[in-house]
Amino acid sequence: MAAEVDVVVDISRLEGWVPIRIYPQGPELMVDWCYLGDETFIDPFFSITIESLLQEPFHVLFRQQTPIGVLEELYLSHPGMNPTGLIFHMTKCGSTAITQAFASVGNLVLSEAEPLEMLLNRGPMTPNISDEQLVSWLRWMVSALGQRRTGAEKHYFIKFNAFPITRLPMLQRAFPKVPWIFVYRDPIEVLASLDELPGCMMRGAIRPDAVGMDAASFSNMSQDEYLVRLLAHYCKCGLRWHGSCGRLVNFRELPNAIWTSIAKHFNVEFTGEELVAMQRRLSFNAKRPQEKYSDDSESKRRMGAPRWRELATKWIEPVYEQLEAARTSLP
Amino acid sequence: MLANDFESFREWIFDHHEIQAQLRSIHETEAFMAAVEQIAIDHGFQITRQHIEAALHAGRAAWLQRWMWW
Repeated sequence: MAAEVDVVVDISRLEGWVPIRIYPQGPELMVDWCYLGDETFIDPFFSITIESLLQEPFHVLFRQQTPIGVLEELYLSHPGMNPTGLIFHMTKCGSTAITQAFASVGNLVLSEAEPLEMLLNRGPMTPNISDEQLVSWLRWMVSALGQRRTGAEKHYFIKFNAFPITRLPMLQRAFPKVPWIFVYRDPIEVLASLDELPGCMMRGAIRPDAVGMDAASFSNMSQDEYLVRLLAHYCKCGLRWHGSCGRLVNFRELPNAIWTSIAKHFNVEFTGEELVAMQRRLSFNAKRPQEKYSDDSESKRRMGAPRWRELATKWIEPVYEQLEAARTSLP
Repeated sequence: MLANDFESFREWIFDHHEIQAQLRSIHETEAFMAAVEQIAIDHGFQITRQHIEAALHAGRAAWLQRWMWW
């Protein structure tokens, strides 16, 4: 690990700064802050915004580091927005389109923000960090990241990576009344997408016991089987917990569900102008905004089926059918 | 001693918003380092170009290695 800079600051210096990562320093957990000013999180992912900032030498040289406890002082003295809705997904299923629609009309939107992902991924696996402590840290971090940037933000949405659906009970302890959605898609289409871009779904990136796998079966399964079972586990979590403030959303319902059923679930309303702005944004690719959007579901099913059908039938399609049954039984 | 002075300088910078804004407006690394060095000297801090380069390297590495820590 690179040498850390042991600088402790008070919160009066943190106006306009955002947490960008957390890291241990001895027994203490530290927060690394970067100046954001009145920039907004309009990019498809939090890391893109931060990477862009870090192209500038100022943001590389002058970052502030504080103990994580400083977040509590900030939470008490400068509480950020309360989250309007949380967005979970199985991956490659339209969740970024949802966040980009919300961001395009001036809402505060976090998309896979590293400090939150780090807390959710590593926190529960780390000795000496209690669930109570982690729940507090999550509240404080969401508050620090939820500071209004333009002053005009009406709502605050947080989209997580795929893994944190496994941590939903902890997030619900932190935000018990906040509605959430779980987005999923035809598994063959998802698996075909992952063929092109496996991302963090490679075996070994996540501890097997964190996703319901025992060490023996984990070490014997192929990467393909691992991937299918990992996605199935995420879907099972969405299915298991959706009854409590959750709503299931199939990719096929997008984009209309964004301003209908999802908006209703999150208790938000959009003006006609906002609706037009969201539709305009979604006429372009959610992750590559310079490209026009085109629905590739059919080609993905055609490409993915030969390789994935057998494993999908065994491990994930039964869960997908249960998700569909649960979703279509909802009002 | 000099490294400590660099940390003191960084602390000092965090209290001076106008200088922060001035430095944020410099996008080119060489010009930025020259400006940082000059500001430090003007305000009595003993830091060198090597300290600035080392701190820039550490700052980049800390972000790039953010998932390698726990």
